[in-house]
Amino acid sequence: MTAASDPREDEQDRGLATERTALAWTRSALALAAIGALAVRRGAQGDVPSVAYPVGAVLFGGAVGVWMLGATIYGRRGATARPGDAAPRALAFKVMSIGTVAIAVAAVVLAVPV
Amino acid sequence: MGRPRPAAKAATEGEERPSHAEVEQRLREHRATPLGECGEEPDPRFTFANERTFLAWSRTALALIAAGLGAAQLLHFSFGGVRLIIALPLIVLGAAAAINSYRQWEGNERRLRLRLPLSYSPVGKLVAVGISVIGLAAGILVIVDLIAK
Repeated sequence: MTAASDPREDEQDRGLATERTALAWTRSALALAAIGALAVRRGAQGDVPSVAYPVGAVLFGGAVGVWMLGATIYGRRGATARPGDAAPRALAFKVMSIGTVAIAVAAVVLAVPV
Repeated sequence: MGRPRPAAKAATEGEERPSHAEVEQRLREHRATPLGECGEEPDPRFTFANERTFLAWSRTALALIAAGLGAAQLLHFSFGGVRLIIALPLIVLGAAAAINSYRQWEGNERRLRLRLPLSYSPVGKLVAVGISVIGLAAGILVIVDLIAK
């Protein structure tokens, strides 16, 4: 079924796949925080509705959420890659994808001056 | 260290490469099946790779949106609306990349579990062409703005 015919395969993540994936989660959280900072900066410019600060707060919250999700999934088992550890995370990914579209809508609102 | 790494098993190893119609047929059969019950667990490394690809596309989408928001804030042309010509397409491109990121991840996860060949996304080309066109437009606008001043 999987490449786990070698028993050591269970104890060792040869390609460091989990570590690279955990780092990808961290980068994604940082990207969200960076956009949050942009939104707050936009709010400070004054020619946009006061919605900029709540948008920034939601983005920072999202960044913390993504970071925690990555840490929860990879924190304790990060050193191994057993079959089953990589259970599909469809719901989390769906929320992230739809959330990014919502961020795009908020960005259009923030981009157009009133 | 130094142990030879076994060649990763291709998702379709040991099978005839199925035709496009057969792939579509098998995907249709499993369209309503929840991902976790679809086919069988692939090599976890493939699942992790697919997950990283999703996350990389998400970040690309976020970066495009951030670039659009940055353009709206930082560019100052003689005519106020001109910067939106650069900002809005970037944000729309980001939204397209975000929608595609999930579709592509789920499609490829299903294909991995069903031992079918992976699909290529046309959105990569869309993003590449989009960034090229927006970059060219930005360059032209900067020159026109300089001349107008």
